[in-house]
Amino acid sequence: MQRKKSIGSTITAATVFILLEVVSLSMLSSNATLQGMWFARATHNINASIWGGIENIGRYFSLRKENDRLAGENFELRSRLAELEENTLITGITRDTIGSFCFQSASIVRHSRSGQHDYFLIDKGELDGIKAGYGAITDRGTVGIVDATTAHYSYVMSFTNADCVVSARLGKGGSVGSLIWDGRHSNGGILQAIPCHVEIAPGDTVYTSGYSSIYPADIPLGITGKAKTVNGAFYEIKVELFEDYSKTRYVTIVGNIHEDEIAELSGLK
Amino acid sequence: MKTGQNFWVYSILMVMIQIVLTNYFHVSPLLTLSLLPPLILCLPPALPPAWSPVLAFLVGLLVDAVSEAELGLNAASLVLAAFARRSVIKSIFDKETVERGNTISVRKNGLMKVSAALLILYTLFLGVYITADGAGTRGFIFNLGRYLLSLPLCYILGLIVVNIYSGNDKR
Repeated sequence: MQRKKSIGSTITAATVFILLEVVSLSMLSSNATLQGMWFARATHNINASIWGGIENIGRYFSLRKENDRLAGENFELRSRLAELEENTLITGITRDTIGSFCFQSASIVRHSRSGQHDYFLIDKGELDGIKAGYGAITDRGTVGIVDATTAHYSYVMSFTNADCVVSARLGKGGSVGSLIWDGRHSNGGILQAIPCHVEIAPGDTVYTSGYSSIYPADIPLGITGKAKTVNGAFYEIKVELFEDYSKTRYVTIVGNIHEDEIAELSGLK
Repeated sequence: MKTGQNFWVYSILMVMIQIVLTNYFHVSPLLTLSLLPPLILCLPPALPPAWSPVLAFLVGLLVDAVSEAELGLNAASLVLAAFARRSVIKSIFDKETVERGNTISVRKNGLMKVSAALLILYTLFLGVYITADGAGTRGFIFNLGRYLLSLPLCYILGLIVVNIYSGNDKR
């Protein structure tokens, strides 16, 4: 009984204390500008912390819903992007000129895999400005060389063709050699004719040299692997190409607009 | 009866001195002097627990109202000290002081115990007072310096006040 009375009086005292403290602080905040601002700031901070905490908890529990919404939005955006790419390829509006090269996107409509003589057909031809000798590239390397054209289509000799050779450079300032298909893998190449005095490190990037009039310089092609000496004078280096030719669907046709001048000077015409 | 009358007379006197101190005794912004915490400590121990915050609020409000202090500053500080008073007395002094309602004095309870009680109550009082008075405009170092400078002087004043209140018992 005594204990109950004691607890009761303690609760009463605590209630009175809280009440009077609140009254005192309210009087202080309403009568003094400085203290008023201080209390307001403190109140805002407390409110912000509480609401921020509640908001965070709410967000945590709605993460699944948010993920679903984002996945839906992602899917919709991808669909629109694909649609846009298709329209762009059809209208050919991406044709552009940078330096002495003109670029035009194209879509592969047929891909013939016949052992050592692969080729593919693209949906752009003479009417689109495509000429024989133009190159085909992607953002991951060279794909082939235009061999013949009709009004609406072009025949492109694939890089995975024994006759296709690309002038390539080891690193951006290194030695220049010839890159050919390794004949087995859809992303395998061999860099030939690199002199033996050149230091080679596996993992070096191989770029187009820009010495041929077909491709612009510095398109990354792949990374070097093991090297072996041939005839005691040159290295043959395995190259893991960035482009997997079995999966290529879209290409960019690249043509040198000064090709005729270059050919004339070289005595090819 | 006479002791009770003297207590209230002394209390009125202390409040008046506090008003004078607050209005005219501005030595430094780092110094705060108050007689109110020992006044609260010396309230009759038999007083119901809920009464001491009420009395502290009224006394604090009176001092605030008739002095230059911001209204509510002394009241808020003293209410906390008054709320803690019973717990402080219970934990520091012997059971007799609490149960029999004996008044607190240095002679009966010893200087150490009275000092400990005074220092705790002053710490609570000054803690609220200095923080609320600065209102976030003063840095922690300034507030700490104000507390460390005010506490010893307040403690000495507090011992004097406790001796004045306990003076009745000797007679």
